[in-house]
Amino acid sequence: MISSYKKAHLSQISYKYAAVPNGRKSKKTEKNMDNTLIRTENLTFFYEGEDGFADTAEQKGVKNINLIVNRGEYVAILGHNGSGKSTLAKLLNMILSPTSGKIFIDGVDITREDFTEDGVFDVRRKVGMVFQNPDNQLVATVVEEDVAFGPENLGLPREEIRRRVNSALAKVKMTEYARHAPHKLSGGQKQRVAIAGIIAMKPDVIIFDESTAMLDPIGRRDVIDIMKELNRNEKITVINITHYMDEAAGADRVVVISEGEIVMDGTPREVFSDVKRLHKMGLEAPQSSELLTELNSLGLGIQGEALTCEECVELLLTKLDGHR
Amino acid sequence: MISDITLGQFFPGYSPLHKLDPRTKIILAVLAIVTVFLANNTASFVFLTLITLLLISISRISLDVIIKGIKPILFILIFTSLLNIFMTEGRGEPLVDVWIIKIYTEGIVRAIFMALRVTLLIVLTSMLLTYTTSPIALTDGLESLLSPLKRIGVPVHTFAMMMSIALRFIPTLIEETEKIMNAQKSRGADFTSGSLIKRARALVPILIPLIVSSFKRAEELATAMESRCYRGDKNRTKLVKLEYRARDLAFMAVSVLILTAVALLSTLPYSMSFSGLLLDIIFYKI
Repeated sequence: MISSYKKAHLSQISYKYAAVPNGRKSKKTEKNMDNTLIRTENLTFFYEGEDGFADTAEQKGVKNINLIVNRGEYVAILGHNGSGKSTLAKLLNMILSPTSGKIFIDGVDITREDFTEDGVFDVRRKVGMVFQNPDNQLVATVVEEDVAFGPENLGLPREEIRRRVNSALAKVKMTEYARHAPHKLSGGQKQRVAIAGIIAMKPDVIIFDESTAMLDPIGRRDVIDIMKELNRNEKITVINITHYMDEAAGADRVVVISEGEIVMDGTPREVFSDVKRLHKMGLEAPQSSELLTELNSLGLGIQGEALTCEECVELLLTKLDGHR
Repeated sequence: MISDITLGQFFPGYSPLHKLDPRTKIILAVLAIVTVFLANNTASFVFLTLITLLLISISRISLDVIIKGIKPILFILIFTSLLNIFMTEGRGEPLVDVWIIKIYTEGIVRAIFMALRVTLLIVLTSMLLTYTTSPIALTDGLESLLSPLKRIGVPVHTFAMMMSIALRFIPTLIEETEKIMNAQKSRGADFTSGSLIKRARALVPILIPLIVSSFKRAEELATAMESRCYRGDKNRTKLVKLEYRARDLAFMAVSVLILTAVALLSTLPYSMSFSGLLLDIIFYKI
């Protein structure tokens, strides 16, 4: 566990170019154009009938979002309730259409006026979504028939659907439940079935829209492990929208959204080092970062950052050793 | 409690009955209904009951499940039986004759036949359709059987999808109802005492949250289905292809034979007197 985290951090690249201010492209962005999967330009969305940000408590819009997600990235989007993070996800999947601004998926402008129904179909094939409530995304009464729902909609031949269903179920370790009824599974298992249903469509990117929020700790851990495996082994781009800091700490990159705007964007280390700023936005850093900040504010002067429990223990032990 | 209801639930399995084509099973269910209504004497009912028991053993579904499935209609069974016993006028001497209550042999026979008929109807149709057929297969079967109607503009696929979603959410909504009931009970709500009107009123705090959450579920499900590229039956393929096999033909042939047999048995001339004789023996000679 510890080593895998460290590996992820070692392989990190700088994402300084990721947030493009007001559509002005930096040189670095242009260099990476072919690697860009999702790009938004001044993306703004208001819920109907509202002016400015007088949205309802549950549904918040977004404004001037400039975000670039590259192929193979593992991005966590953080924000407290009503920060607009789910709205952003729904925009990328064309469930919502932006009020203004542009979205490019795989180089295709999906906000074009003359965008056809087949275009929408294509976007949804590329951008898979896993939602919060596992019960409300399972359509069929048998696990494997539910996993087949997506591929069936894609119009794939029968043998191909069968192959994809089997391999998707294997990837989420639910093969033995293939003929079970979904309502008899636990929350975590249901969510794994929902993920298999998306994997079977072979998307380029999977957006997890608070997919762990309704799960127990074991179910949460399973889902997070699957996210990591998909990203590492299947090279699927993962966007995890969450308000759990510990989940975000495991990502390659963290984007913080507050009041519908991107306020922070960087590696977990960069983002979580600024604990005070996170607090201002109603967010907390991972517990280890919180603890170190508290200790340092008492004047202990501990050097370094810790995102996981193990790292934190190591730091504290070195500090204690120094005192002896 | 509520989730004990098994009527309308699918039990996955690999029995010959499970493997039948859903279209075959729908046709068989229709044949079964006709057959049950044809039966009208002891011989035909005994024969049909044996066939039903045979079908249950073929399906490998436990008897407990079947009995649980009958429980919800027990009240109707008893009610109709009582009506038949007291309301039927026979030709011979009444068995019981107290004040205005007269019970004839024919009444008892009719009550038994009626109860048996309803029970067989429920068991046979749920055996063939809901217990051994996944709802999706069932709706696929219906869609395929009704597909000629597409030509005259009937949205068969949409109806089939609606039905399968309804079936999918039955257990989920039952679970939710139970949760809401418990939540209301813990706040002191009482569903079991008081007049009928009072009890009906007590259901309002259950129904409202249930309806509200159903709407929310519907919206979320629609979003999830759309984002999984659902767009009706346009260019849609199926994981399971419906195919008639030798097994289907065999079952069809056998059930046509059974229907014929029952039809013949029920025309036996001594039908009612034979049954009457049996009851005479039971009630008088012991």
